[in-house]
Amino acid sequence: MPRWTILWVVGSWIVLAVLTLLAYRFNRDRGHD
Amino acid sequence: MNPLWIGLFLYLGVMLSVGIAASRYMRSLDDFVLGGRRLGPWVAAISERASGESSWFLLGLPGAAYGLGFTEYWSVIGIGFGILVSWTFIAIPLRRESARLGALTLPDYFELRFNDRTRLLRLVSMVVILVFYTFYVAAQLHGAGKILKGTFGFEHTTGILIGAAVVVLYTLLGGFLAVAWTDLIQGLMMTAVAVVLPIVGIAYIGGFDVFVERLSAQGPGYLEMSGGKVGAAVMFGVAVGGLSWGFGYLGQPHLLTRYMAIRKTSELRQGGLIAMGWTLLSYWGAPLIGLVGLALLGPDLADPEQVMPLVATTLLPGWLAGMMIAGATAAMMSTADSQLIVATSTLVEDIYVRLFRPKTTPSRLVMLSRLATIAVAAVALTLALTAGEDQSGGLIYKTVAYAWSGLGASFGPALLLGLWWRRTTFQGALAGMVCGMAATIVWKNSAALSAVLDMKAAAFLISLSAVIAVSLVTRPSDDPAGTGV
Repeated sequence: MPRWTILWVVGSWIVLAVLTLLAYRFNRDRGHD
Repeated sequence: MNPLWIGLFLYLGVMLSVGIAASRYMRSLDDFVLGGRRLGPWVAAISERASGESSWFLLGLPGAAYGLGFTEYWSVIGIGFGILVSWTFIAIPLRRESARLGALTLPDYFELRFNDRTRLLRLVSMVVILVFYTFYVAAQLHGAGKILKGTFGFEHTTGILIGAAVVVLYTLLGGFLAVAWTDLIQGLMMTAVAVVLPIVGIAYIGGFDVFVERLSAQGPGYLEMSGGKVGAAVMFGVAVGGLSWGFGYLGQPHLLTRYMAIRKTSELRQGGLIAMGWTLLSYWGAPLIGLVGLALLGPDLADPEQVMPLVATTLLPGWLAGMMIAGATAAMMSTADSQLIVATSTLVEDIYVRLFRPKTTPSRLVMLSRLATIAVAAVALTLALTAGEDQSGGLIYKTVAYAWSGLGASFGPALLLGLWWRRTTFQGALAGMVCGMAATIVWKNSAALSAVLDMKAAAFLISLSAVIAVSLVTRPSDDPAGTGV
């Protein structure tokens, strides 16, 4: 299995998970009605 | 009785029961179109995901991965980012602004946000929605045709007719609430398929190493993110073509209505987390289903988009395969029903109520909505039936790409900038919509332009440039609506 393929797929998933948590923080004070 | 039927029948029965249950809660147009803005975060988030992922997710995408290999993961990565950006930067301001302005639909929002007295934004939005959703729903009906043909050997047209009948029936009965609740069940089934099928498949083949060996034997390109293509420019094209699926998320009315329908704005923050959890859990598996199919069944399938039902029936006992195939049916239905609701709301709320301002009763509007749903479904059905059987083996993938690009490019830039950039003007938004729609249609019909830059990326960037450029040279309106920032 080419190393780059694994790196791209797994790496992008980790980046997405981290960004999801950052987004959750980002919207902390924005979600009030 | 064929055990495959048991799983499928069980599923269809549950969907119709939900439709009947939800019909008891429906008394007004607001209920039919937005479920009275009373969805909780779990229903809103999973429903958004299930509607966002159509036949494309369990038939089109595995079919493309079957043909191209790991390079299809570019699409998956782009999609992950698209979903994240949409939940982070659009969901909350759109929910807040639409409630404040009293907007039930996306065309409502555009008209009120830009204080558009000419009605042009509403009219252009309506054209975009009706044109592209007809194709989109037709692609879902093709999905039903393919599933039922691949599994039970039905004629393609019979499969399309059965799929259309069930979706229309429960949409008619329960409106938005039925659609959102069935989406929840369907979203969870889709995850089960995307997670279980690749794991069982790789174990059946003999483990990950054997799986990789078999793919490698089909050709080295299957394991490469470049798809075996050489040259920086070509690789750039492959990556952009995949990643640009993400742009589409910013302008899909059937997903944006999920944000508008949530009970409280604050719950969207939690909803975003749930939606991303679903994405990270489900999306890695969908292309792997196609790759497992390639390793298991060889490269000679007549229609690659039937790879998922074929893998399920090869690997699993009949009743379980039936449940998995019901999952693919779920993917198709959860999208088609939501799109029918949006197209219906466009006809009834955007055209009839807002333009003609009739003196009428809520129950009469619900009845009109049901008639409009039937009308839109009939047009999509005609389109699906006249297209005939899939000759190229990529019909769902390509048709969805077209509709996805058209909606994303027409609405995405105008919406995002309208929410976040106070300087966005009515003329800018209008230019963005028209350019996004026109660019998609031009690119779709020009192989030369598509060779230079992928349709989805090109149309979005042209629309984005148009909104910015025209906004800068025109004067903002008195802006009573303000922005969501």
